[in-house]
Amino acid sequence: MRGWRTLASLLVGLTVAPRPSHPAVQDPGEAGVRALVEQLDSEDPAQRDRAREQLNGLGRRIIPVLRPFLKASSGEVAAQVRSIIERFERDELLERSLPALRTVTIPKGTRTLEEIFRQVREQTGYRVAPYGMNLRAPVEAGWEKAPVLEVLDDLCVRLGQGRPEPPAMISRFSDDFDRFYNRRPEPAPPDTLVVDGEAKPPPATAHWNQFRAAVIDVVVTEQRSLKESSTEAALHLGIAAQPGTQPVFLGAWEVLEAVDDRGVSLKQEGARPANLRDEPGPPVGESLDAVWFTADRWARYGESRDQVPIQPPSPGAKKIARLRLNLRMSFAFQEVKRTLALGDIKEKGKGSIDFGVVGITVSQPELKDGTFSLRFEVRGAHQGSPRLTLLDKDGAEVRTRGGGTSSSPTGVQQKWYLQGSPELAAVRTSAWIGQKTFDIPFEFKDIPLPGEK
Amino acid sequence: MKAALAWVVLFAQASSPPPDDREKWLPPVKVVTLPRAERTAGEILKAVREQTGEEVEASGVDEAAKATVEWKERPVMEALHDLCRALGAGTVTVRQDPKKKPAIEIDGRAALPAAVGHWKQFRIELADASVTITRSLEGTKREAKLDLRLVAQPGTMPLSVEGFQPEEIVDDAGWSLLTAESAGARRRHSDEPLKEGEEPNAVIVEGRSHERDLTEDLSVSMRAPAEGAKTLERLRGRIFATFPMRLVEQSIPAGELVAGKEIRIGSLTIHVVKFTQEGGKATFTYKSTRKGPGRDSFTFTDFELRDEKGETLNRGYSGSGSDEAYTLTYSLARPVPVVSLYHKAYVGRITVAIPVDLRGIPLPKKSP
Repeated sequence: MRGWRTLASLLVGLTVAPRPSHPAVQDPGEAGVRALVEQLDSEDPAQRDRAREQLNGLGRRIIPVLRPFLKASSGEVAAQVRSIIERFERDELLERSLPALRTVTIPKGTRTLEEIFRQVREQTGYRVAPYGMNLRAPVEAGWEKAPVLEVLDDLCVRLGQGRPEPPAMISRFSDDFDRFYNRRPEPAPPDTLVVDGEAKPPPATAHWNQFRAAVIDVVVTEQRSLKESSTEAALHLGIAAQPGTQPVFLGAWEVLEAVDDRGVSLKQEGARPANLRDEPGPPVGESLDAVWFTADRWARYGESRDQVPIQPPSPGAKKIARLRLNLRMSFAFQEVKRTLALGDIKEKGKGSIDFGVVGITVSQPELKDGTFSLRFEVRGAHQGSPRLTLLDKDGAEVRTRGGGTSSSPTGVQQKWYLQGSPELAAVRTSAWIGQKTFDIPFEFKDIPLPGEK
Repeated sequence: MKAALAWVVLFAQASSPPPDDREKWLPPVKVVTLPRAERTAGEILKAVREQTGEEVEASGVDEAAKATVEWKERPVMEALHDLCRALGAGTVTVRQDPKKKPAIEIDGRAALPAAVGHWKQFRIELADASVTITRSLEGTKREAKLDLRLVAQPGTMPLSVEGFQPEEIVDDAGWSLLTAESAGARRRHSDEPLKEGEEPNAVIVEGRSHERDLTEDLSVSMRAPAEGAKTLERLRGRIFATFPMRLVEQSIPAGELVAGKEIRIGSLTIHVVKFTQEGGKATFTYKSTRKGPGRDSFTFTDFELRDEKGETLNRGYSGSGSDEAYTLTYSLARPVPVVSLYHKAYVGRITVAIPVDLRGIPLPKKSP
């Protein structure tokens, strides 16, 4: 029963949507769960909906209680229970790329930084790695179920120094976006939150559950020439999240409201963000069969500033009184790897790698003068481009001296310059299957504006 | 002394035949001589056309308006600007449209340019001056730049306008606006310092798309003027423009593309390693060596593979290689035998330093 008692407090954390979409439910116990399941067969549609909502809200720990109903219930109840269990399973998959919100509760009082960081670690599992800070400095503060990044930002603001630097969000989504995503071979350590004690806190931050947006700068550019004069303004924003957050897609910032302290709207209608990440992305919601091809290397999000254009503030304005933005992110459910034996392709003339609604037809394998090449064609709607990796007979990745791809309307030709004479046996590729997309809302208040001089 | 040398470079062809085809790209300066007198604009334009042979298209010019000019061997671009100044309005440009006959165009309705200077075939005009103030939470940054427009007598076709090397930029408050980057300008896409003169052995691949021509304004970065400054008292410097000396075209029979064959292009030698063709694919492997300066690495030359009718067969290629040899693999439009390998390049270049001396350049006014 102890587990059941803690269930309610885990609800926020276990819900994979950044904010729980179901009302918090008191622990009903096993009997209560069974009673709710019975109500799924009620003749009253409102009662059925209520029961489903409540079961969803209880989280995946009720799966063992639900499973017997898959066989021993009416068809309607079994179908509804299956739907709830599948949802819990998807949520569990999603947590691999979107770790649950971790919060901190510390009663108000005066403590040293050392003590606060220790409690943060105990409560969240994240190690705080500060540098350039006196850990014995006393701080008066307290938080109640506050997101861990918000606690660290708040702490730095109270100290008047320090800037939390959460690790960059990483993604294995494969696309040719090298121009603005920095690819690195290794992901960041997933459990450390660095605090740069020598830096100033960001001018403004906003938090929403696992996510943190920071205003890094506000830039007003006045240009005068012999022909014309113009003034432009932009917010420089940074996005961060709890360690381990791995979106497959990060969209552009959408300004919903921006008002300066003179009451003038700064929202720029129809403006495109200066960063190139302006593709619309998937719609908000779930898609179970979406396919995102993945890369061998990691893309890192949030290390650079995103420039979001706004109207220049009115003369005399000292701050942006209110700023509301959305940022769209997609998280994938699961990574799937598929292997195709080269022997099968040679035997049948071609082979197929299937990812649900998307298939890759591979043909024309050829080894000549130390170069191996093949053709492939992707069928079905997908994101990114498949990256094929060569494997030897032991399933190990074959080392090459590089290679390349050339695309045409009929497919892609990929080649590898081999090192030595390895025994080639198969090709492998991987994709993320299924996605959940959120618009993450951020709200800032009192962002300072640059002075006149 | 420098000016005298440049004069020799530019006008040597007047006294003795040039050793190359430079006049194709850098024709001799056309001049106008008119004794001092009051004439109508129409009469002056007629004299300019007759003496220079240039097409001069004037629009918005009151040809009955009278002006007094006195020219002794005045370069045509400068003479026409003098006319505009005498009339109180007008700008002089050169039509760059390759589909039409080159012409000097005068827009008599336009205001006189804010600042303009002339040197031989060239006209340097201030296109714009701008000041940018960037205020951020991290501080305030002030920058300024000038846009210069280089116009040249019709027929003048530089291979590249390399850039502007400022020597003096001073505002009317006495502040020097030179920046640390002002000194030591380099040739475009190269580490070579800019230097005027002739280099007969330089090799420049024909048709490089990244070269700057006369249609692009030159941007001159400088420090922001003093708060109260209203003008730039003076801007002095040099614009470097490069002209080819000759265009070399060669067609080598495919049968000769065997190991040991050498193809010479100015200071560059292509040493053939092998050439093979298999259906719609052809592979050419070569080494290259060169002597003396030149900005083009010449790693991947724009060779054309031609069929027996002289039509180009290659539609794309991929290249790889090292200092030892380069290999180009071509996709052919048709799987027919390659009969010859064709290439063209400019051999030799003349770098002209065009002096710029503009005075009283207005600065943009502050917003009210």
